[in-house]
Amino acid sequence: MTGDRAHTGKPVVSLTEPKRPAVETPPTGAPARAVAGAGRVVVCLPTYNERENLERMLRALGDVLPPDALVLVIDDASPDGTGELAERLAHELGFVGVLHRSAKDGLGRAYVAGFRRALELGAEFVVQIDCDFSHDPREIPALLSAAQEADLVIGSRYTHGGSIVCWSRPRRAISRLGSLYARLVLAVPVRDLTGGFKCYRRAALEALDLDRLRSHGYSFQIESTYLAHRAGLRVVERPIAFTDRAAGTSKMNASIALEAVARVPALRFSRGRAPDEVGRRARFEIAAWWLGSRAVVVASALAVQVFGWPRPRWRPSLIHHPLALLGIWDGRWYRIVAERGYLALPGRPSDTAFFPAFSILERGLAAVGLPVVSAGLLIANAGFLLGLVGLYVLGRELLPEPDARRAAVYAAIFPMGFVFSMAYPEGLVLPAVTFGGFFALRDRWLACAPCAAAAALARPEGVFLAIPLAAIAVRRWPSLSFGGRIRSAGAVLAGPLALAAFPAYLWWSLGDPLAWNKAEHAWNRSFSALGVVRAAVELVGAPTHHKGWLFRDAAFCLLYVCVLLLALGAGVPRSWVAAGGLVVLLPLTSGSFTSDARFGLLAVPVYWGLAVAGRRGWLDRAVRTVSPALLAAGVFTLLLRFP
Amino acid sequence: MTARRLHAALAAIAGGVAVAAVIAGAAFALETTLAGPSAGDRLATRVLARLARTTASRARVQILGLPPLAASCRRLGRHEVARLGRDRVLVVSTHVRALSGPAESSLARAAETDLAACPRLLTVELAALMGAGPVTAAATYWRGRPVYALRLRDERPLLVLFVSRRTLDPLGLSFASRTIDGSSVVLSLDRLR
Repeated sequence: MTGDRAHTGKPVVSLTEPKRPAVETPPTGAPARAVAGAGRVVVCLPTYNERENLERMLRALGDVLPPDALVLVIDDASPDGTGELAERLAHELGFVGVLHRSAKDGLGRAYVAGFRRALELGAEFVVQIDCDFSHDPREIPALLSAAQEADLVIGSRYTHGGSIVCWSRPRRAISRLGSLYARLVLAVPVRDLTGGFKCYRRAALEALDLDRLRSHGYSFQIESTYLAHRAGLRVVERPIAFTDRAAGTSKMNASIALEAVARVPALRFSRGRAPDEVGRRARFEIAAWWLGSRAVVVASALAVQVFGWPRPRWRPSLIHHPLALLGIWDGRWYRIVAERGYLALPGRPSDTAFFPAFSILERGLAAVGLPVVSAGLLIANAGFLLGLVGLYVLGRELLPEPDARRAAVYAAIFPMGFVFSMAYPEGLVLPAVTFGGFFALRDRWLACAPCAAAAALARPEGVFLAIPLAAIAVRRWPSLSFGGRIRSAGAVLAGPLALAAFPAYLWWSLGDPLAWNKAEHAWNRSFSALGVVRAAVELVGAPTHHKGWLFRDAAFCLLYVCVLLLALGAGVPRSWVAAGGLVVLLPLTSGSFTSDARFGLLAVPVYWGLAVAGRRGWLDRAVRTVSPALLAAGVFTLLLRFP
Repeated sequence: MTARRLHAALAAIAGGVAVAAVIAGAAFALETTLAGPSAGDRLATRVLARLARTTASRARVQILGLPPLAASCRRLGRHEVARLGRDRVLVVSTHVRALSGPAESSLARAAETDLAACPRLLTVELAALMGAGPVTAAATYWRGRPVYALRLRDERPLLVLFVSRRTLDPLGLSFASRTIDGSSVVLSLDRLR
C-alpha cells in the first residue's frame, strides 16, 4: 500500500487502499432499507494537525466498527505530519485508508472528497466524525442503527437526551443561537443543524449531488443537512454527548464563522427549486395517470347517462344532473347529511351509518355556492390526486422509488378505483392516511395528527392508521424530545379520539350515542365472531340467491390478501400490513363480502404489494393495459350494483 | 425503567391525550356545523320508535257516506294482516292484497286500510316522509285532546296522524281525497314489552 501525494495546486487526490477487501455492492433492485451491517460502513475522518488525536481515534474506531468497515482519513497536508502518521497507521491497522489533499481547503471540501471516495468504495453507510474526540466513537453503532430508518442521522446535542460537556455558558449560548438562527432562516425541523457527527445512507449522498455543496468551512454541516431536507430525505436526530476536544487546537476562526452566518440566508434564497428532480418527474407522471384514469371514468359515466345502458329508463338530464351516475348509491346519503344533517330512523337504514367528514366538506363548499353533488365530486377527485401523491411520498419512505411510483400509478388505474371519483369519502381518506403516515415518518407529528383525525372522521377504517403511527412512535420514542413525545402520542390518539367524537356528536344531536351501530345493524352490518363463517356460507349460496356480485367482492378480497403478503415480503413494515389487513378482513365479520372490494381500496399496502408484483416487466405492462379497461367496465356496471 | 423515566413517559402520554382531545374537540365542533334535525323530525323519530314497538291495533273507521267500520291490524312476519269489517287484507309495505272479500282494490279500500292505523304501515309512511325532507308537526287539538298532527303525505290523498302530546301514542287519523273523506279513532294498541 502506498500513498502518493499530489503537489499540484488542485487539492485532492489519492488513496492508500485498505488491506481488507471491499464488500460487494448490493445488487441493483435490492431494498433501499438495507439493514445496517448488511452494507459497508465507511467513516470519513478529516484531519488537519491532529497528530495528537489520530492514533487514539483510529484505535477507538477500530473497537466499535463492524469487521468490514473502513476509516478514511482525509488529510489536508497537515504540517505536523498527521498524513504520514495516518500512512503508518494504515499499514499497521489494516482498516484505514488515507486520502491526501495537497493543501488546506476547508472542512467542507475535505468531506466532499471523502464522500466521493467512500461511494467509489461501495459504502452503504457513510459516517462523518471529528478527530478531536468531541464526538464519541462509541456512539457510531447507535447512529448506524438509526440509519436503518432514515437517510441521514445527525448525532444531536440539542435533541432530548443530548448534552454538551465542558463548554462554558457563553460558548453554549453561541452554539445554540447559531443552530437556532439556521433553523429559523432555513425552516428545517432539525435542532442541531451545526452538528458534525452524522451518518448518511448511500442513497442520501447520491441524492444530495455532491457537486452542489459549496461550503468550505463549518457551514458545510448546515448546507448538507438543509439540502438533504430539501431533497425529501428523511433526516432524524439521535442524542449524543458532545465533549470539548481532548488535545490539539480548534480550527474555528472569524472567517469561518462569518462564512457560516452569510451562507445560511444565501442557501435559503438561492435554492428556490427543490433538487428532488426524481420526485418532481414522478409527480408529473402520477398526475398524468390520474388525469387519464379520471377521463376514462368520467367518459364512461357520461356514456351510461347519454345512452341509457345498461338501464334504458335511467337517463337523467345531462344539463340538470351532469355526472349523476357518480353521485348515486351512498353519495345520496352523504348529500342528505350535508343538506339536512343526521336523522336516525329507529329500526330502519338511516344516514347515521355514514361518517361526517365528507358531508361537512360538501356542506362547506355548498356554502360558497357550489351544488352539493358537484362539491362532493370535486372533493373526491381532487382528494384522490392528493392521495396518489401521498401514496408516492409515503411509498418512497418505505420502498425503492420505482416501486413507490408504480404503486401510485396502479392506484390511479385500479379497477375499483372509479369509487375515488364518486361522491364517496374514499377520495378524502386516502390523502389523510398517506400524508398522516408520511408526516409521522418525518417526525412532523403536529401535521400528522389532523390527518389521522380526518381519516377516522371520514371512514371508520381511517382509525387503523393509528397502528402504523403507534409503531413509528414507539420506535422513535427514545430519540424524541419530551415535546416530541407529547406530539407523537397526540398523533397516535388523534384518530381514535376523533372517531369517538362522532358518537358524542350523535348523542348531542340526536340523543343516541349508539345511532351509528343501530344504523349499521339496520343496513345488515352487525359484527360478530362468526361473521366470517356466515360470509363464507353466503358466498357458497350466492348463485342460488342471485347474489353473483359477491364473487366480485370475494375475488378482490383474495387479491388484497395476496398482495398484502407480497408487500410484507418486500419489507413493508408489519404495522402497515396489519392495518391494511384489518381494513380488508374486518368487514367480513359483518357476515358478508358485500362491498369488500371497495373497502380494500383504503388498504394502502395493497398498492405497494401490487407494485412489488409489477417489478416483472410483463406484469407491469399487463396491469397498465388491462386495468383502465376494467375501470371503465366498473363504471358501466355501476347502475346494476353498488360498489 | 427507572421511576423517573416512567413518570416522564406517563407525563408525555398524558400530554398526548390532551393534544388528541383538543383535536377531537375540533372535530366535534366541525360536526356541529351540520344541520340538526328539526323539531318535527325529532318528534317523528320518537313516534317512529313507539310505532316500531307496537304489534297490533284496533280502530273505528268512519268514511263519509259509509257505515262505521271496526278495523284491526296485527303483524304477520314482516307484513301485517288488517281486518276491515268482515274483509281481511294483507299489507305488504304500502301495498294491499285481499285475503277475503272483494279482490279488486279501490280508493275506498286504500282509505280504510290507511285509517285502520296499522302500525307497520304507519311506520313505512312516516319513514318515507322523514327520508323525503324535514317533517312538519303542528301542536293542535283533536276531539278536545292536545295532540301533534303529523302530515304523512303532502299530496292528495292527504293522510294526517294525530298523536298524543303526552304519550306520543297514535290517537287517530284523517284521510282526504277528492272523493273520499274519512277519519278513524284508535281504540287500543298492543306493544312489545
